Amino acid sequence: MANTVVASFRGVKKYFGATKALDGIDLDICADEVHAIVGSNGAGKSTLMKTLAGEHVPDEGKLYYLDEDITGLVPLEIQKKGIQVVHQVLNIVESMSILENILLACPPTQNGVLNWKEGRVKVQETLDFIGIKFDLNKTTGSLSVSEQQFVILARALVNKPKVLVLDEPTSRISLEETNILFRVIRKLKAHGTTTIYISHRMEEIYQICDKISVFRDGKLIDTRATKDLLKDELVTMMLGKKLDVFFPKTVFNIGSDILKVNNLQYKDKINNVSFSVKQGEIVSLVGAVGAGKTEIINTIYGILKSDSGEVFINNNPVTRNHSPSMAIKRSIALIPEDRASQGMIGDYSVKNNLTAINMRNVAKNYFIDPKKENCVAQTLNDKLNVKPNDINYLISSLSGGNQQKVVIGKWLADPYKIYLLDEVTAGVDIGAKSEIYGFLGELAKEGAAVLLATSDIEEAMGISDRIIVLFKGRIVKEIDPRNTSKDEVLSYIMGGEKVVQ
Amino acid sequence: MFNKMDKYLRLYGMPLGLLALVLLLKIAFYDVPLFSSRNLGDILLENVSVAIMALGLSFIMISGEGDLSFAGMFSLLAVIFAKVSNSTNNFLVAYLSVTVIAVTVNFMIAVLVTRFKFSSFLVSIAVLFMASGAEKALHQQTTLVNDPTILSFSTIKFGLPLVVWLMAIVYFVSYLVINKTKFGFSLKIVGENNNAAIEAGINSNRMKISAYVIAGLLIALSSSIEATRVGAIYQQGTFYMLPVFAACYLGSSMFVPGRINVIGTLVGVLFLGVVEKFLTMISVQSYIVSITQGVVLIVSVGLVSFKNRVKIVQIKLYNRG
Repeated sequence: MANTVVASFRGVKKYFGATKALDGIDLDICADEVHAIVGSNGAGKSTLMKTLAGEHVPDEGKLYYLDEDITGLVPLEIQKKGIQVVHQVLNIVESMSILENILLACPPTQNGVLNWKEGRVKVQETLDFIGIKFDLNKTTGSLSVSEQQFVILARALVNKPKVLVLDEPTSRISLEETNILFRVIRKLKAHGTTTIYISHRMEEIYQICDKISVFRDGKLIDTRATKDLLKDELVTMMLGKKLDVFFPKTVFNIGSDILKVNNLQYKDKINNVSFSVKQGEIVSLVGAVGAGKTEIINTIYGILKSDSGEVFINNNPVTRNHSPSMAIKRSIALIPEDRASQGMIGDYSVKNNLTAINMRNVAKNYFIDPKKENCVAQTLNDKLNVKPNDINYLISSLSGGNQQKVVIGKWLADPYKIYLLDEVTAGVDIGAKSEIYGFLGELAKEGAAVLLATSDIEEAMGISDRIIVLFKGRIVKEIDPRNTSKDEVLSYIMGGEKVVQ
Repeated sequence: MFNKMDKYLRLYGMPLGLLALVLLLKIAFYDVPLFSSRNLGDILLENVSVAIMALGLSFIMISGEGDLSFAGMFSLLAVIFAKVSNSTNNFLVAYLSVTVIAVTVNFMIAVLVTRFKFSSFLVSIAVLFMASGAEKALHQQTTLVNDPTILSFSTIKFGLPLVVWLMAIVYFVSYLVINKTKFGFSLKIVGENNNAAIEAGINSNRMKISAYVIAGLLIALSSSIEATRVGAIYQQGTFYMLPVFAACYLGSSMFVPGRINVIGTLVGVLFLGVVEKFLTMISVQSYIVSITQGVVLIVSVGLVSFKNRVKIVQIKLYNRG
């Protein structure tokens, strides 16, 4: 490894109040490599990248770019030097065109007047490099989320950076688009651009990265070449302990149908979908972005009204006045896709979030009884193993994995018959993931029906009894995870085989 | 083809609809000479102050903030203008002093709003009442501008009153600033997505402060014109509050749907001006005018949020992380 070092961190420390977000990081990023940064939520990955981008100034230590001290420079100066960061949150300006969005930081001017013609050439070159076609005059608000992701990527690439940081770039895009992204990363590598890649998805890291740096609790544990690091060892390094059972796969007594969906139709999103889920069964809905998973979940829960078709719960048809509050009465629980805006109340404490569903549990004669409330919340908190174990903590200040545990936990106070979960492990680290799978297993054991929408194939194969593959709103195939391979599932997800059931 | 039509309809449907509405009024009341050249000139002249004030508010709203203080500042500045110009007999001194006051006040509002994160609504409403209090204190005797050179500003040049030309120039320059310069581009980014602005290395506080300062310049101009045109003023600003807001929101439903924009604001002002003129010409009670303007404000707010509703739901569904 005689590669030149492009960026390096020397003893970088960053504190947020009393917590050490970064605790003396020494790290070299070499030229022409794809460098993975992995670690649980709150390990310091994003903080490190924000420090590199100039959004945080380190409390101690120095940053170097090509042997030049860049500590304390503002983001724009760092961008000009050739470091570009693609953040997890897509900050696009919706009313503006694709062209304007890509050139957001560097609109071309001529004598103080904006000159979009000149910029158009530059942008078109970048888009050709990525290998994607856009009508540059279209407003970005009308694009899909995955298209927006590519607009943001183009924004980072338009100035030909030397170092590109991608923070969870694949969480919103489909498999084909992931392949486009990987092609771009390889092309960049050939052109001498270093990519720093942050992801929770192990397969991706092994597919694309040359080196892996593992972070835990604000410390750099180790940097290794990918080919010298086994997956199990990587997981152990991330968690600081051995992970015994990742998928606690158990088959329980599967009872009779409890949730049944017949010929469901919703606009062009759900197309004649029928399936059922039995007591004690975990069923996964898998499919690409836009396959209709979320829509099916939301229709069953009553957020969307189907155009036609029926939903049966315990063999009773669901009436037209079905709504989320009716769904709760019919014993359906929902853990929604968007944790931050749908699953939790960010400004409330863990306690208030945990007791939000059924306040009768914590009430005495119509008034909330603080003693009861504390008792119920504390019991759940212990069961969920939320860290820190403090029910008065604000939920928004927890890490993503712990937040998700609380979001699930609020449905565990009472037994529900049907649990609907939408991308329940998105942005959740591997330790919390394992615990969440444990909770799902327990729910099934107690006789609940679990319907899980996921884009993570490993997850679907690991914990479910049946996999239903969706393609463009249609059921393509129902698979038994024990008699299948990942590649087979993948080919159905891509719409490879169009055999209906 | 259909998509393209849909797009043009989204961008230009609203102004065409307004035009149709005005023509309909014209046809229904054919004996009212709404579009005589005299009346058209009057409509323009009567709305110069509102138009320039609405432009100032547009700048603030484009930067993503809001303001109510103009309603109080407007008449306070006009009174100060009258007093200074009467005592010095020099309208330039008067204009410069109100400009300095307006810019200073708006700068202070902006600092509170940006640096100290005060709510712009609350700060500006406080300033509104402080200004109108100060105006009452100054109103010991009736103030009238009695300088003949100033009062000649309403004279007709090149077919239109001088101040109307002034308004046209101010709008044209503002249009260029917002749409053709990096400053305007940055201002729009700040207003729509502050995080995107931070990522693009734009100092959003400085942009917002600039917007308030520009609005200060414009309100000083607007109230100076009002003082020279009307001569006597008492709490006039509050009457203009509704048309100014209605014009901005109505404007945001056209050309750049969902976004406040310069030309939209101008069209909004002119539409409201035509409607008001029409209502006075068929001699309805003056309260009907206010009610009509209120309805226009609510309808345009409704149109904008209806158009954007689908999009908002989408963002909520997908903006995780």
